[in-house]
Amino acid sequence: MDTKKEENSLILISKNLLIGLKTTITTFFQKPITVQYPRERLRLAERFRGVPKLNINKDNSLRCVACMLCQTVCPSEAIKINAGYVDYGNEHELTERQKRNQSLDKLEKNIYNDGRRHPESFEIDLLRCICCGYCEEICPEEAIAMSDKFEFGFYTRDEGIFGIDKLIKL
Amino acid sequence: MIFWLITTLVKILIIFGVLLLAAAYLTLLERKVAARIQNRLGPMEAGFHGLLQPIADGIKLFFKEDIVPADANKILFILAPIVVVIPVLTTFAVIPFGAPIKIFGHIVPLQITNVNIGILFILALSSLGIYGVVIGGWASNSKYSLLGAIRTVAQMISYELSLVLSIIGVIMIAGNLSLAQIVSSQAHMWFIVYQPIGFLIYLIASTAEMNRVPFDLGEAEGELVAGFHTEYSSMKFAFYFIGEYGQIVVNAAIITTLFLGGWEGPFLPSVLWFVIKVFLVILIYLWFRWTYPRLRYDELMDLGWKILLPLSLANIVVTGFIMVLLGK
Repeated sequence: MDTKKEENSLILISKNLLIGLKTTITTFFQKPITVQYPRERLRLAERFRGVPKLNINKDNSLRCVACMLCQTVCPSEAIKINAGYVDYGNEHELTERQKRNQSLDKLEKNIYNDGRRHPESFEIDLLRCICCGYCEEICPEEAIAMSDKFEFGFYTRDEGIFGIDKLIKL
Repeated sequence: MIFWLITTLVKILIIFGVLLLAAAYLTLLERKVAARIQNRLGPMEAGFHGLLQPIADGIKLFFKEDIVPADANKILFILAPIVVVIPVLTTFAVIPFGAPIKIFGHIVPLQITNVNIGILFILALSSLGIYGVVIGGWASNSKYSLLGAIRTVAQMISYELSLVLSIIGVIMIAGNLSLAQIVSSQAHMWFIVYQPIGFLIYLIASTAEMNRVPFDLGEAEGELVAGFHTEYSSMKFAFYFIGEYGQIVVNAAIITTLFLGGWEGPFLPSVLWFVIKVFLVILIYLWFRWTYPRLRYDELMDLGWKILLPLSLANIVVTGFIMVLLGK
């Protein structure tokens, strides 16, 4: 009974009202913590995860060997890979290693290949991607990595599916 | 005679323009103050630091579709926003906003008309604005609007009494109902010194009169969508806003006139003093709004009847006793 009376006493209420006014006036004179986003930007953290991108070698060839690990591990099924064999063409002279490669026998005639695979198409649906980083973690070739890009806008859902060309440029 | 006519017309035009402009820019000030209190920046895009924002808002509202809901009472629906705005603009007629000036040998008082019952005029008109809210809420044919209107009516009963009673102390000291007289009797000492409780009660009660947070029961976004103006769009909606913000200016001007010495002040021109004081009172209103949460319905009733009314009555009695003791 007594405590309830104390809580509702006029003096206590007025004191709390004044405390509220003091709080707002102090924040009024503080510096705003927001930034004008498109013009000002906050510094991204070093380990910030944007959407995944594809890495390339020095000779501009893809590092990806189409092992399908990333497609398998992707929790939101955003990655879709079409695997194919690297075609060296007619002019190519087989190296020692390639000659000994058993899988060459299974290939069709006139396709010069050492059994190495590469992605014919590599698509990431950015609308499905949750930027979890599992693909980067599991990739044995360091072919896929998280970029620091996170701002995308599309007019249709199909525009959100990025192919190899666009993923390299990220 | 012609000189009097011209000066009066010029004064009316100036007050009309300034009041509407102030109402528009008060929306920007409110947003800026709110932003600073919440550690934000507020509008920054339109013009330098958002200075053109009110104009952009006005143009946008002007071109919005004007919707009248089906089964709404059309005449009352259109009438209601007008009923909100007109009293606000009219109230300013009796408020002296500067010392009398001399033009071509004529003395021109900076006040549209010096009614000798100025305070009664203000009280009568400022209560009229509520009818716009009530009529609009009823005419909208919407449950949210109606609930907002009903709440506003109930709220009006609980604060109007203490609003009027809080001024009586000032009238007793000044011994006059004319606002020009009240200002000139504050030349030596502002009435806030003699009437601090009356000032506080008027400040709180006028916040309730304007339907502002923490007494915005009639609007109550989050409970009633937008309360009484849920169904309003386009310029009718803008009229409600002009009315609301114009009323802030007018109430701040009334407080300045009654308690803060009106245009009296040293060194600076009298009009500037008036503007500075009004601005500070407006800032207090904004400060209240962004500090306190909305009162519950019964809490408002408690505040009005159990705290403000007894306090204002006690204020009158104490003021009377002291005046008798001092032999004034």
